[in-house]
Amino acid sequence: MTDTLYYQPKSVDEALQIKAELGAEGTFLAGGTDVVVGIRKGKLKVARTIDLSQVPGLDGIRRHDGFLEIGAMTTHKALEQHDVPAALAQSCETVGGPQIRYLGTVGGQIGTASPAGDVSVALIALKADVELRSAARGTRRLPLDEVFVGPGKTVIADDEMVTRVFVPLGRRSDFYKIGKRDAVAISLVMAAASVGPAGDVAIAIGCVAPVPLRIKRAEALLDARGLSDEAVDEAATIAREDCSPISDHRGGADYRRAMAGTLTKRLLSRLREVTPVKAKPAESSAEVA
Amino acid sequence: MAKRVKAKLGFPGHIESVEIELPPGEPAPWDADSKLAVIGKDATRHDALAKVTGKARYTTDIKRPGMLYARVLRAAHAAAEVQQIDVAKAKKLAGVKGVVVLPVRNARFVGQPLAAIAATSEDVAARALALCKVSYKTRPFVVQLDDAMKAAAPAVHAGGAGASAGAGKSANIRKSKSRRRGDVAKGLRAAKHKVEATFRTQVVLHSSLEPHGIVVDYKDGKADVWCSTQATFAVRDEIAKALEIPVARVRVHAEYVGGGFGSKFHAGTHGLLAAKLSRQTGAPVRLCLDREEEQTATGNRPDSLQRLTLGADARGQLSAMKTVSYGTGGIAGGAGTASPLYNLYDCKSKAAVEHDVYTNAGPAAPFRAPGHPQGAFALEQAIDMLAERAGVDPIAFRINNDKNPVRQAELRRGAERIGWDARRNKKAGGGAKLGAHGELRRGIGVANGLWYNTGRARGEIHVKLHHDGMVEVISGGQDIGTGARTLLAMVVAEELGLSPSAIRTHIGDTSGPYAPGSGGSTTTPTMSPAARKAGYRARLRLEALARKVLGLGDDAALVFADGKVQSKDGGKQISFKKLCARLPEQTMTFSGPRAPNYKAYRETTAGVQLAEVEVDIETGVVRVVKIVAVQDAGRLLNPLTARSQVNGAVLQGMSMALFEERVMDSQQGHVTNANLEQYKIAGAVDVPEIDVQLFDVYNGSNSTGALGLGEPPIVATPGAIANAVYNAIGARVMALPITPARVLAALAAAKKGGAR
Ligand SMILES: Cc1cc2nc3c(=O)[nH]c(=O)nc-3n(C[C@H](O)[C@H](O)[C@H](O)COP(=O)(O)OP(=O)(O)OC[C@H]3O[C@@H](n4cnc5c(N)ncnc54)[C@H](O)[C@@H]3O)c2cc1C
Repeated sequence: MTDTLYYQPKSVDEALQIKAELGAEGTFLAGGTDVVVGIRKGKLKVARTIDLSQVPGLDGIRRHDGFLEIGAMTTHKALEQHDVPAALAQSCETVGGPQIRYLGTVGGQIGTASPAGDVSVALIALKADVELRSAARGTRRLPLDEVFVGPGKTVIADDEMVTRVFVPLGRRSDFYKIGKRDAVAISLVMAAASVGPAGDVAIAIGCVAPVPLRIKRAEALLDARGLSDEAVDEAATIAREDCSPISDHRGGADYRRAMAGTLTKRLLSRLREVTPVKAKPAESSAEVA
Repeated sequence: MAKRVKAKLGFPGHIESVEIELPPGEPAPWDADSKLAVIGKDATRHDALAKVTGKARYTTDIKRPGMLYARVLRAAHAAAEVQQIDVAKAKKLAGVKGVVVLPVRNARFVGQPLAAIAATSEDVAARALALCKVSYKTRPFVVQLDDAMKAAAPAVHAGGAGASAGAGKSANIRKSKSRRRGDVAKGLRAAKHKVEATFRTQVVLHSSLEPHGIVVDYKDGKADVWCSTQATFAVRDEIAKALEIPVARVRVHAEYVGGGFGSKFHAGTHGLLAAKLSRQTGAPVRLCLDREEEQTATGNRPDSLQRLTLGADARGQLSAMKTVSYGTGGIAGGAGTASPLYNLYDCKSKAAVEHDVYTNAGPAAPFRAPGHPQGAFALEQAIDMLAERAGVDPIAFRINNDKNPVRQAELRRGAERIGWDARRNKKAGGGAKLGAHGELRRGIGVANGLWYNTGRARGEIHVKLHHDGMVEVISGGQDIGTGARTLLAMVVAEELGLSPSAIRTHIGDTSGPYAPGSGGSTTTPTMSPAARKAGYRARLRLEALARKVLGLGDDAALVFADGKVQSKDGGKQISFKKLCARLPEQTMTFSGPRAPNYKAYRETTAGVQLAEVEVDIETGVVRVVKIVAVQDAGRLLNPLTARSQVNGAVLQGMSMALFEERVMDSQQGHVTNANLEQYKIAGAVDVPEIDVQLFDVYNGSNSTGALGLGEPPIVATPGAIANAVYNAIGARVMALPITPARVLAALAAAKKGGAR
């Protein structure tokens, strides 16, 4: 690569302006834990880098209007140390090792669009929305599960960026990950689920489809029938049926399919029984505007 | 003149007085009665500070003026005729200084070295590689053991040595070793209880923290070489041969080595390429492999397919043991796994037949107790199966069938440490339902292990006394992380009554005296007696001097302690330093050649391990909770580093049991996880509690009585974990690694079997 260019915008507007000019050529750089690794592996050709680290206002967590608003540049570590819904905290705690969590961001997680994205799965199961913004069209807000269309593929337009994620408050949630080992391991399979104040259920499973998979058919069933033993069993069956896993070096498709059911059941049973409490030191729950 | 002495050998509770014939001039072995000041006490590694502060310079850290950086061009196909290697374009790239092309006619695995390029930077060398054009005529290949064993399989060594397709048989199978004693058929006929079972283990990669690397600086018919190796002198000889110069003109440095585990006994093709590039360019050449090359082409622990048949009489006494094993280490063999079966347990009839199977993958290399963890994984599960059929407790079964008193005592100690009687499930899978939803089961298992080496009569150590009282210990051998450097200082310190920190050890430089490669766990039992011999000779010289200086008679006994030399009654004394000042020379060197072994208490090293695991029966995830490792270490020299060898081996064995596996792509023929991201090794949070129980066994086989400890403690680990899994869930996992999917499959099969 001879003519690589590096941009360091100082505002969201400037970043969007540059992105609009470069289109698909321009790559946002957040924590770089996917981008840099991709470049070094030769999988990613990046000629134009737009570094978001100097853009003010893109990070931070705040409660507003019944939602937790999370800036795109918020790191996994910051979320882990903040008072956030259980599934989100747990998913952040399992991303890579501490070094990765201090760098990796929510925006980068969504931008990467990996079916193994732990935080994406947790956010989907929390019924989170995403805010996308472009210079030309301003902002739009859509459910996170509608953002992903395939491995590394999203509906985010070439001139758009992720600015914020909105997580509805008041949902009880849980997350469960199986990796090849217990830390610094991309998931072999993982899942998250939540129950809203009105009893509505959401379930998402990772590594069992080309995208982090929301199991809407099971959700509908549970919304209609509640978390009875039979309904939970049926939901697990649906989860197994609705996924389309592949086999790779981490594990086999059969195992992943089986776990789609097992984890669905496990998470729903836990949600039925207890509300996972997340105790975190008070100082770290200070709100950042 | 050979001398006979009585030595107290054995282990606490089992001490015997044994008569030993000492080779001429050798000191009597340290035995149970020896009162030692330094030996047997924890000593921190002398290089610990240098290592943790980054001061230690490994091969990758070496920079020479004008040094070039080399990279290796590697085969892109698993089987192909190499028609042409066109390096013309690469040669023209600015910064490229040298190219060496190997005379390879047939590529037999993806990653096989074809050529190497030296350039002004790693980056230029990498770009030059991309400019090379190789024309291949590809051929069918085979990368999986089972495929390679089929009669119609492509012959891996076709077009080269080793191609011999027999009628209806795969050309890739070579019977490597066959051992037999007694009449197995008869033993099986006599058996009341029988077990026939097939086990599989995976290909495991050494994954040393420091990949293979070398720097060769060849000038004026002389070469200085820095190499990450576990055999400095073998590398010296190989480089000398490649450069066609006498061995004395090559000096190999390996002061610090970031692990080897058996994969670093040779200069390697890349090493010879670096030497040739240095000669060609007249400049120092550095060739350090990257992780992908390391995980593809520098060695592996072969996989295995083992069919075991065991028989026992009504009382649970073994009557026949048989194994037929196959395994592939890629294009080169060494896949035997039968030694544990052949060497553990007392049984009148045994048969062990081993086969190496060739596949189009990188060659095998020795790996920490070659063949043994695999063999013990199969054997120790089969033993448990047989014990269960005979209705005998697994530990009692082992004690009944193995007269080795050390292992018997170790089993008893291990049982006590893990709470065998109280905490193990009487019925496999019948334990309490633990966890939030009753999804967890705990289990406890045991496995035996053994190893063989009491050291070799090779190599020598020098001890230098300086007139200022400084003592140096010199060896041309290496410390690959086992703590050899510290041990040598300890042994000499003991002999001279000094503190180990007062002694400077120089190792990893072939200008020092010869030492064999660090293999077979022989480094400590080979080098420590040589060090003692050199120290002993220095002491004899100092004793003569001290008697004169102190005005004592010729036979007066002297005590060397706390940096002083004194008469036995303590009446007369002189400091070690002052005594050295009276030496007739500024510096005196004492050489300690390694003498032949004395009579050993036991020729083998015994070890047993007990594992406790927790299994999630819904997800199949296994967590190792605890390992009790009871290990014979011969005469313990440094318990601190001995424990760390056991810890390391248990971790590596645990990682092999649960996580590690090289995966080959059957369609493309390459390693799909040639990195540490996808080739997962156990991490910090996977580490169980490890209860290391060192057994001080006064061995008497040499003057220090030490045995090697690098390999033995990995042998039992996977088998103990597998038996614990069975005890937890009542289903056997017959293949490594014990993945969640395999656990669930075993559970499903057991359920089906039970319903039938
Ligand atoms: C060793 C290691 C371990 C890991 N383990 C895990 C794990 O366990 N679980 C897991 O889920 N992930 C894991 N990852 C992947 C990675 O850390 C996460 O996906 C992380 O969230 C990426 O965030 P980032 O800020 O580093 O993204 P970057 O690498 O900076 O960017 C990733 C992608 O998102 C785009 N992007 C970044 N910000 C925005 C934005 N605001 N709007 C639009 N697009 C944007 C980038 O252009 C790029 O395409 C691991 C990575 C490594 C290297």
